[in-house]
Amino acid sequence: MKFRCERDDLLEAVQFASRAISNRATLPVLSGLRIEATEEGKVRVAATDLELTMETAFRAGVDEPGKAIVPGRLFGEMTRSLSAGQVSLATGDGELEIGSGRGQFRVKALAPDDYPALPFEERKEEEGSISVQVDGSALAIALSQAVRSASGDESRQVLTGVLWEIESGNLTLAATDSYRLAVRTIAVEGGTADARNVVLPARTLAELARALQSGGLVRAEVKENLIVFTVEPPEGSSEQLVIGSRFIEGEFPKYRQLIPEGYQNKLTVDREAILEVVKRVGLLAQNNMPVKMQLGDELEISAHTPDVGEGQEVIDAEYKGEPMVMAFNPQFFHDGGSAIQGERLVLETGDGLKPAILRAENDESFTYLLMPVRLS
Amino acid sequence: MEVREPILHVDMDAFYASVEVHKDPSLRGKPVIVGGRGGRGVVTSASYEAREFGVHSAMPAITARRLCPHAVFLSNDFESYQIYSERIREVFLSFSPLVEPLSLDEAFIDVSGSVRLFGEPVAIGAQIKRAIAELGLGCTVGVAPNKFLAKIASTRAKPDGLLLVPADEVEPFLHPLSVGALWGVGETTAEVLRRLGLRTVGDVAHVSRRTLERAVGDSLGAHLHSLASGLDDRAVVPHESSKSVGSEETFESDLDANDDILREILRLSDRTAGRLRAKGMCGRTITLKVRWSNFKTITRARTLTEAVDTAAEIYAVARDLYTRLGPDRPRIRLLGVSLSGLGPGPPRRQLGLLAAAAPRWEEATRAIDDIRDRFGDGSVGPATLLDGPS
Repeated sequence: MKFRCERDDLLEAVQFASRAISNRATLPVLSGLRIEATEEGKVRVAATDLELTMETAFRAGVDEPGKAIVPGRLFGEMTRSLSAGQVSLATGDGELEIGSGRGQFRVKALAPDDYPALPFEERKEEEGSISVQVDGSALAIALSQAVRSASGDESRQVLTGVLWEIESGNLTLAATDSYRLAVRTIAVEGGTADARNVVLPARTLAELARALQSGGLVRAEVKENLIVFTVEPPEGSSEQLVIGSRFIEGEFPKYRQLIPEGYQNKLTVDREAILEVVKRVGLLAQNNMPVKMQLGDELEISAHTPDVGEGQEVIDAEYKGEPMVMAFNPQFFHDGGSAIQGERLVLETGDGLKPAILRAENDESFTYLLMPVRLS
Repeated sequence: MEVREPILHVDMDAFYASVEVHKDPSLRGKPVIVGGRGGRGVVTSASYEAREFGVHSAMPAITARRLCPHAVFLSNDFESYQIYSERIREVFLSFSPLVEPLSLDEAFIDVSGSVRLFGEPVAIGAQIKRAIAELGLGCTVGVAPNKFLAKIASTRAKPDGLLLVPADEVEPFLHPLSVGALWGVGETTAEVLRRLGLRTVGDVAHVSRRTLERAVGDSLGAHLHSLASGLDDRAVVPHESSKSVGSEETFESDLDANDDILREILRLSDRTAGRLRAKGMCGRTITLKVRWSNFKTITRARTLTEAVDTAAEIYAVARDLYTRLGPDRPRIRLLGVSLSGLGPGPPRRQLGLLAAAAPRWEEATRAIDDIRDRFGDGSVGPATLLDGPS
């Protein structure tokens, strides 16, 4: 393998792909980056931890097609420290030679035969796969709304994931850690009438959201045991980004039946105002103490932690229903409220023991369900 | 300067009921009964308006309803009582660091070091009353040479009173009282004393210590003799909230069978949970202590995201901590289970969306506590403990 390229192109690709390298690599070779120069004058850079695979490519002057596996972390640091301008890379004798300006570096390469085949190397359309397209910026928002409700507790693996459900032109993302549930629906192009749902690791989707920072168009293809996201960047910017991921096995909770209907109590309030107050009053809800919300024409939010302090604050609200008191984990409430888009937040409640619903006013596309804290 | 009456006993008047009135001023002047909601409750506090009808705390709610059907009945709101209690304690602490709370609504204060700043103890008592009135509550203060007399003084002056027992007038104050006023004298002891012809504290003070000791036993006899003379040397001990609650047990012969070990861990979990609840607390960190037969002692702890107070929850963690030790051939001399990271209980519970089918330990546990209160600790418990070594 031998090619010449711009340092900035190389660096961008290396930084992207390296994110798939796990800190706890199960095989030594997985700490490597896979670099491949193709006859078509492209260099592809990829990494995988067997669950998540990330790859991108850039244009380069390829003198000799071929591939190499290089130690990911060292190569990344080297690339970053090179001065801008042209860089040459070549393999020889189990080493990678890097030339930049008047510098010459040799780095021991890893054995290419040990590196696993990338799961999406075969790019042909598989039978039974379902492909949809969606605007990258819109998907990025939807992801940020859903992903943070996923659980961090590995003891129920399926809850560490996010449900990816495709049904007749709609994509639904759902995540729950069993205390709250976030459900976001977004329109997509393509797909089939048949519903298909898989559970994806939260990490995969966090990486996808990151890759969508500059927008673009996403194609998501659900294959038999793998989902592949291809991000076509906006015109003129860098190259295609590919993220592949395994599914999480297990059955995701039947989330639709958890969402109550026909609640009588409905509070509408300025979203930023309530978030600020929850944050401020929440400072005095330590050691797992909740914030209490007294629902009425005014909303009183209070908290008390023995030996720490207490606080309360009142904000204006519009309220239909019976006056009532509910208590919430302030962090969970804040997570939900800040995931909502729009100026006004609607809080619907049953009684103090049933899940509360948080939504934006006049917007059903995102629902955040939050279980209260039972007051003693 | 020697302060002759340095001890204050401050007792809030109808505390829970007064807090409720302060929270909802429309209740002012009405009979308010707290804790009497629901058929089987017990009155925890009654406003003075309700007391006029004969309602008092610890009375079954059903009786209170009969005596005072037009009263406002409210359920306990311990969170508020705790908040008000802290405010009251802050008032006390602004006069002296030596504050010993007896409960949410009652405390001893030693003001011997405070007179230079705030004046005579009686003047301090009056200032405390004013400060508490500013919080919207009432209290009664007893001022006396010691804790025993201060507490009697506040009882005698209720409600909204302030009573000084001067050091040189202890006997005229104390001696006319009935023997029941003596700390440590319940119905049984009162009956024994009565048979000796001792009806008042003065009577007790005038018999010899030997006679008392023969009648009620050595230690109680000596104790009553001092009290009847107005003597009590217990110090005011500033309260430090306990950092952990637990129980441990050394076994007569080392435990080596897994079943026995787990059963003892369950027993200790149950006992610890009971103690925790009796203190009205819950805790987040569960610690298991194991001393092997060679005296090597290890502890393993786990902190949960949410505080717990039931045997089942504590046992589940303690058992897991033990299992993870994975001892090959255990020989155990001592086991201990304790909880730290304590907070006021019962735990607030983050309810789960998916956990509808989870066992409702809390309800079961409250029921167990009720049964144990009435029939004793051994009356109900985990079945596993039935045939275990006791």
